[in-house]
Amino acid sequence: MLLSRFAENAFWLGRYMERVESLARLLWVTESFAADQDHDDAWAPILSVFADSEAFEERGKPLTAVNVARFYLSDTTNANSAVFAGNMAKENARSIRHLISTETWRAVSVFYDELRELQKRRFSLSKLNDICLSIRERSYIHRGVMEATSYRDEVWRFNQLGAALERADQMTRLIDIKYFRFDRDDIDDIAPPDVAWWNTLLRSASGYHAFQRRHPVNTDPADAARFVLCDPYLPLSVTNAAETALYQLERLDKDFDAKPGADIKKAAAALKENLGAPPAKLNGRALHRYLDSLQVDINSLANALNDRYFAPAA
Amino acid sequence: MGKPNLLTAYDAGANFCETTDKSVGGKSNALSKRLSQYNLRTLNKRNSAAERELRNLGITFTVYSDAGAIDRILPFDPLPRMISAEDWNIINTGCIQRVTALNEFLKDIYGKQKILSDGVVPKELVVKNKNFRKEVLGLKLAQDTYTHISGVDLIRDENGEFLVLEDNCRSPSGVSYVIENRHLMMRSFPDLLEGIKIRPVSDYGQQLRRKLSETAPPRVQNPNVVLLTPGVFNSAYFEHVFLAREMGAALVEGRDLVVDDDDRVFMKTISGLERVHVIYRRIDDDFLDPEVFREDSMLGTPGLMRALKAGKVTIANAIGAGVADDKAVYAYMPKIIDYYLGEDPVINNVETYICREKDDLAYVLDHLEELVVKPVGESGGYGIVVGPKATKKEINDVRRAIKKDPSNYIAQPMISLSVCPTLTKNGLAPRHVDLRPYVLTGKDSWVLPGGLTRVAMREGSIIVNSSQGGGSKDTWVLRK
Repeated sequence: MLLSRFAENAFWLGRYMERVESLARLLWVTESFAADQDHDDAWAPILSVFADSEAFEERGKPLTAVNVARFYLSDTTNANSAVFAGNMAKENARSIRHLISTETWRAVSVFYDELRELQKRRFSLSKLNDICLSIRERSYIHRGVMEATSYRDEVWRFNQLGAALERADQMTRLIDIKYFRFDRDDIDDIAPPDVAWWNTLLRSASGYHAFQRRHPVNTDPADAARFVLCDPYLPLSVTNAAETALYQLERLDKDFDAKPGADIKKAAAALKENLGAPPAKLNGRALHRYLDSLQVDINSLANALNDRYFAPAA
Repeated sequence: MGKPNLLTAYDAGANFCETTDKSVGGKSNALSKRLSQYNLRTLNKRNSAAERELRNLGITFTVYSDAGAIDRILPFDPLPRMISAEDWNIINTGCIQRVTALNEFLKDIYGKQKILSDGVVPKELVVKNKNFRKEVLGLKLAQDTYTHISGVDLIRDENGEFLVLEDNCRSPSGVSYVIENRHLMMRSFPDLLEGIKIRPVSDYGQQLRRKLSETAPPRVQNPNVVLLTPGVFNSAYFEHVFLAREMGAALVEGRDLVVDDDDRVFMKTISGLERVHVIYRRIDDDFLDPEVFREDSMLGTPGLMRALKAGKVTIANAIGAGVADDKAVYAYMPKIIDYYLGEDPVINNVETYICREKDDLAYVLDHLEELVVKPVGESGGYGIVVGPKATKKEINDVRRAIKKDPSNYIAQPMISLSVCPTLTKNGLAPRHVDLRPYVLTGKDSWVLPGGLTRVAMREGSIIVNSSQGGGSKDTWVLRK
């Protein structure tokens, strides 16, 4: 039977690899959208959403687009950066190397080497989109390699569980970049992000064309939000991630006698219920509050998983 | 006269060359002929591809520093070392003989101590040795096996005679390179192997599991074997991963295990506690059980010693096995083999002067410039002084050190190790090699047909340890 410690490594390998991809997506959206606005303000919200404003200030660099981008891509001392996540992914993979396919280890290893290269050459903003695109493609290759070569054992289940949870969490953050401002009650007249921003986000989630097929007339931000959060068929949607997580838990129970306890079941049910009933008007403050509530649900599930599988009383 | 090729200009000088000696067919044996078909550029190109592959596959030892983890590859030389079936027969018989004697010796010194009371080996050399563990005195071990996994370091002198340089009874490392080197050769140089009949090394993991299972506590069906590692920060972690994977065994750290009040060992899994029967540990005695040995150890598991004494778990290699690979005990090996087996050694020791003995000490102090001096407690090639290559200051320093603490030193004549053609910046050149075959012991002993050929990459150097810049070669044992 799988050691609890290895289950945790597999889970975090999934989370960290997914985090790298999500970060690349988030920077790509920000850069694509900020490019024609030409001011660095567009980058400040990322620092707020990840609660990194202070950490960024400590580095003493002016708040410019390229500095924030470097902070999140190649700053090895930033625990929220892609290169940091890549390193953590590799170290988690290292601990379970005997349990993952050699192809997977190779993919993680090569991926991390490429991320590390980023800190050597100080990239300029004009390179950012290319870099983000290539990171996302690397990540897809990694996922394909895992899909093609992984033995479908407990390690695989925990890995997919971790990846699903991270994907769900990161999607809520990606949207919140533009909506966290609604957190303040004293401001009522903030302009919500326009259609162009939502189109960029849909593209980054590989959902633009599917969305057009579903909603052919024009992009209503509320429809787009519902689509990337709750559509069961979009691979990056939170609903899809939740379904995946539930499925993995079921397999762990049935195939490997690793029964999820009552706490996990309760947390999973709450997330599913919340996703099944989004507020009618997914705009402004309502959307921000909804994203908040989803993050709380995802966190509760992660905590329940930790207590049951990774840190059991001996 | 053929056209000039890779080996044309190769000259091993006075050394015994593993690839081109007359006894193996000179430059016209199968391997030499194959090598002749390459040119230097192809060889270099394929070699860099192979090294890149090693890095990508993470076949590395890891060096941790403040800047994080750095994965280094063990330098790999693409020109294999070949061993004839006849030579292998000598190695195989000699290694089994030696390990059999080592196990008898360990059983005796942790039991009735007959060899000590008979005066064959000085008592204080054993009982005052820092690797002697009085905690295991009188314990009965399954199959009487103490050194389950042994490495016997061999060298070859100018005449091609094999000699034992050192025994390793404390988790000898390096076997993962033996197997990975072969995989790498098959990927990068398939044409070199084609048509040459080589004995496989790929079933090492299965053999290891079988031998370890044979030493499980009595009456256990399907024993659960685990590999106990100090963790990812250990430089040999790759090998621990490799072996666990090859054995299909769980790779555990001390914190993954618990010993209950009935002295049974368990590991913590996602569906509860699971019983453990055999522990292949890659942790030193000192760190195994904080209840008995170092209490500050974070690597071990409290209670392992209780479980061992209750006969509920097997620990491989046995606690205290390290006393047998002490360099001072080594000097007595021919006598030890004779004492237990009534045989002459199949493979001789290198002549060894024991500085704790008066006559030897006098000889050593008189001949420091000719001898290789080794501290007995060190491993990894540390602290060795090679007389003929040492500076005056080094000689004087070691003279003072020996006089101060004679029993900490042995000395051996300088042996010119055999050489193999090796890829260097200037084409093929002779470089010194040794050989570490791996011996597995359960009910009986088995030797992996191959072993780790370490090569001193620096010209003229005879220190092959990886910590001192050594590399490795694939080792081919030919079928009859």
